[in-house]
Amino acid sequence: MNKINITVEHLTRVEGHGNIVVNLTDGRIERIQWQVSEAPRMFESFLRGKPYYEISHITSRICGICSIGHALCSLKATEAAMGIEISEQTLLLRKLALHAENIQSHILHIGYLVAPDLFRVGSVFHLVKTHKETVLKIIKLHRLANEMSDLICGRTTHPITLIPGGFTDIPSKKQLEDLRKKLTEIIPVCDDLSQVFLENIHMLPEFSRETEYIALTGDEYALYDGVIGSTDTGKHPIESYEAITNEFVVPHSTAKFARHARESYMVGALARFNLNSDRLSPMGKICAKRFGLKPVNYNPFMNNVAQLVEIYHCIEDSIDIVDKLLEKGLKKNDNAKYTVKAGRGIGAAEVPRGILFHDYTYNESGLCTKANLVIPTNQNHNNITKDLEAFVPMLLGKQEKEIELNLEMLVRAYDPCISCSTHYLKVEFKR
Amino acid sequence: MKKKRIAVIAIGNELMGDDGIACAVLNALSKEKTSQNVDLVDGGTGGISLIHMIRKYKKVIFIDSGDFGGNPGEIKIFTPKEAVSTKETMRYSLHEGDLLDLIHLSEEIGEAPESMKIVAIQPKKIEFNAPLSPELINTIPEIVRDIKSLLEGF
Repeated sequence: MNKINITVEHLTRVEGHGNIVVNLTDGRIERIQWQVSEAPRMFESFLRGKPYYEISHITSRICGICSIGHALCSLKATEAAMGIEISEQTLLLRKLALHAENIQSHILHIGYLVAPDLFRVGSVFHLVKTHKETVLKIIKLHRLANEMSDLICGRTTHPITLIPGGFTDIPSKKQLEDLRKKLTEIIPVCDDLSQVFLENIHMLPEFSRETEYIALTGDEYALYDGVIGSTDTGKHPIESYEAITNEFVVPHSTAKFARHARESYMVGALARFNLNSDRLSPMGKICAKRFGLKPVNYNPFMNNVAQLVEIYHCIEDSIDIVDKLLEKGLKKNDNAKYTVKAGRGIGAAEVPRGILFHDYTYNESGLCTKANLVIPTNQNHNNITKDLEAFVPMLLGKQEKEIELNLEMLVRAYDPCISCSTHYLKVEFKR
Repeated sequence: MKKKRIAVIAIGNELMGDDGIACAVLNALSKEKTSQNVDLVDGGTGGISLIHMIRKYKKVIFIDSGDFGGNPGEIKIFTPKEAVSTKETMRYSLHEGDLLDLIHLSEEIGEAPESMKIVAIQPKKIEFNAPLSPELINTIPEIVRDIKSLLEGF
C-alpha cells in the first residue's frame, strides 16, 4: 500500500499558526484539512465594558500588520453608532492611511514571503545572498510604506493619531510634499520589482477553481468605503453582513469559517480586482495588463499579482490624495463635533487581506455592550480548504516534497493572517 | 546618511515571562544618566522592521534573552559575528524572532551600524503571562552596569 501523509505543522512564511494535513492511500484521498491551531483571542469579549474612545486602539492590536485597517474599520463602526460625520480632510487622510498599510502589507507579503518561493529558496535571508538588488528594492518600498504610515498615523504599526471624528495630529504641508516626492520616486522601483516578478511568474502553479468573490464595491476602487459586492449575487448593504458571511465553526480549527452563495468564497486583493478592476488607477490597469490579469480570474495564486496591481493603485491614488489635500490647504482643527449616545454601528473596510467588518453596540455612556468582528482570513479559510481539495488530485504524480511545497504556496497566496482570525468555539464543542 | 547616534534596543515580549528581561533592563537604564547621544528603544519582538530601525544608528547594543545553556540570569556579551561562529558548538539560539538573521540581512544590504553588541541573558522560564524569574530580576543592576560600561567604551 502506498501511503502519503503530509503534515505541514506549522506552515511558515504566513502570519500565525496553521497546519496543512493531507492523507493519501494508493492515490486515494482520505483527508485534506486546513487546520488553524492558534489560541482564540477573545477580543469580542473583552471589548465589552470598554469606552468608545479606547475601542479602535484595542482592536488595532488584533494585528501587527493590518492594525491601521482594524483601527479605521473600528472608527467607522463607532462613528456609525453615534452618528458622527467626518470632514472631507479626515476622509482623505484616512484613505491615505489605508493606502500606506496596503502598500506596507502587500510588499511584505510579495517581497518577503512569496519571493523566496519564486526563487526556490527558504527565506528572504537566503534571497539576499543571490538577489541582493531585488531585496534592496523590496526593502526600499517597504520602508517608504512604513514612513507613510508613521507620518499619517503617528506610528508604523498600531496607529495613535486616529480617533473618533478625526485625528489628534496631521502632517504638515512640507511633510506631505516630501511624501509626494517619495511616492513619485518609488514608481521606477515598483517597475523593476514587477519585471522580476513577471520573469518568475511561471514558478506559480497553474490552478483555477470557480468560486464566489466578495469585496466592497462602489464608485471608486473601493477600499475605505462601499457596499458589499459579490461576483455571484451583486450588491448588498453593509448592514446585511451577517447574511453574507454566515460564519460557522468546525472541529479542527480555532478560527471560524464562512460561506455565502456557494460552499465557500474568497476575499482579498483578487476579490477586489475581480469586482472593481475597471476603477483601478491607470498604472494599476497597466500592471494588470502586463500580467494578463483579467476579471473574473479564478486562480488564487493570482492574488499575489492582484496585490502588486494594488501597490501601483495605492501609490498613484495617494499622490492624487496628497494633491487634493495640498490644494485645499490643511486645517488643524477639523475634527467632527459629537455627543456620545447609545446605538449600534457597523463598519466595513477593505484591508490588505480582504473585507473586514466591525459591529458594536454602545450604551448611553458610550460603553461597548456587544461586539462582533468578522476578519478577512476567517472568510478565506473555507475557500482555502476547497482549493486544497481541488488542488491535491492535480499533484498526485509528484514527489511528496513537491506536493508539500505546492500546497504551502497555495495557502501562502491567500496571505493568511491567522492570528487575526482566531475566535472562540463555545457552541460547536458541545456536540 | 551620516550616522552619529547610539541605540540600546531591547528585544522581547513583556507578556512572556523571562522574554521580557530586556524591557525591564531598558526601564532600569532609563532611570540612569546616559549620554544625550544614546537612544533607549523598545524594539518589541523584533521582526523585519528592525532593519529599518537600526540603519539610523552608528552603534547599537541589543539586549535580548538568549538560551545559551547557562544558568538563569547569566549574561553573555558578544558581537553578531561571534554568535554565528559559535552557534554550532555553543548552542547559541536566540529564541523567537531571529535577531541574528535580521542583523545579517542588514549587513548584506550595507545598512548595518558599524558596531553592534548583543547582551544576552539566560532565561529560566519563557511562558505566557509569567512574571520575571527572581534570578533574572536580581541580575538587572549588573546588566545595567555592563551596558553603561559598554556605552563608555563604544
